[in-house]
Amino acid sequence: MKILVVDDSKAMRMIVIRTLKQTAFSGFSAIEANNGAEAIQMIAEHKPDLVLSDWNMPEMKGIDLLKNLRAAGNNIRFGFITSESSPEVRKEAEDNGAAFLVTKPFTPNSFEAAIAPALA
Amino acid sequence: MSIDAQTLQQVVNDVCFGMLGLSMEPVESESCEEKEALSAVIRISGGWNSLVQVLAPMSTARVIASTMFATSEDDLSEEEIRDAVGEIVNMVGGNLKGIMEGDSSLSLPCVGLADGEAPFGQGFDGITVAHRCQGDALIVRLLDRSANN
Repeated sequence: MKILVVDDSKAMRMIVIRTLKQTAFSGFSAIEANNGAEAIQMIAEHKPDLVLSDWNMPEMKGIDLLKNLRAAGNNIRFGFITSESSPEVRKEAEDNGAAFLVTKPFTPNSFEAAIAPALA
Repeated sequence: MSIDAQTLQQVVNDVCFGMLGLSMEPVESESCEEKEALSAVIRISGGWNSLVQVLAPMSTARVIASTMFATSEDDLSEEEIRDAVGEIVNMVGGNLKGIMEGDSSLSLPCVGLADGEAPFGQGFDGITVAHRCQGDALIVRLLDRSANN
C-alpha cells in the first residue's frame, strides 16, 4: 500500500509515518506533500492508495484538497489527521467524502482504531 | 463556557506526555525571561476568539524537536526546532477550539524568538500554565478575548 501524508509540518509527517509503522498497517510505503496543492501533483504522479491529510495548511487546506479531488472524480481513500476535531469540522469532512478523522494528539492505538474501518 | 487552567493543563499534558512521551511536571510558576526562548502563537477566531502561546526556552524546544524528529539535538536545524514548537501550539489550540462551542477557525502557527510580553502586552490577564518539560520550562498562555469583551 502506498500512503501520501500531507502536512505542512515536517515533524508531524514524520510522527504520522512513525506511528503508522507501529500499527497493524505497517506494510506500506510513504510519500509526503507539504500542502494540498503539492498533494494534487503527488497524487497524479504516484497514484497512492490512501491520503492522510492535515486540515489547516498554507497554499491549499486539507478540505479544499479533498473537494478538489472529488470534483475531479477521484475517489481515493482519504482521511484527516488534525487537531481540529469540532463537530463542524467532522461534519464537513464526512460530507465531502472523508473516510475518517484522526484527532491529534494520537497514540498508535487511537490511530489504528480510527483508520481500521476505512482500510478493512 | 470557558477554558480553565485545569483544562488547559490537561490538553498540554495530552499533547506532550500522551503523544510525545515527554515528562511533564506541573509547577506553580516558570519564567523564560532570562533565557533565549521560542514563542509559538496561534489565533482562534469566530465563535470563540482567543490567542494561545507556547513559550519554550531553546533547551526545551530542542528536546521537543528531538523527540518529534526522533533524532539527536545536534542534528536539528533551526527550521525543524521552530516547526516542532509550532506543532505543539497547533495541537493545543486545535484541541481547545474543539472543546469550545461555536464555529471558529484556527490560524496557522506563528513562531519566533520570544519578545517580552508579546503578543499580549503588559497586564496579561489570561490563563498561564507552567511545566517542567523534561526538566526545563514550558509555559502555555491562553487569552480568551471573548471573555474580555
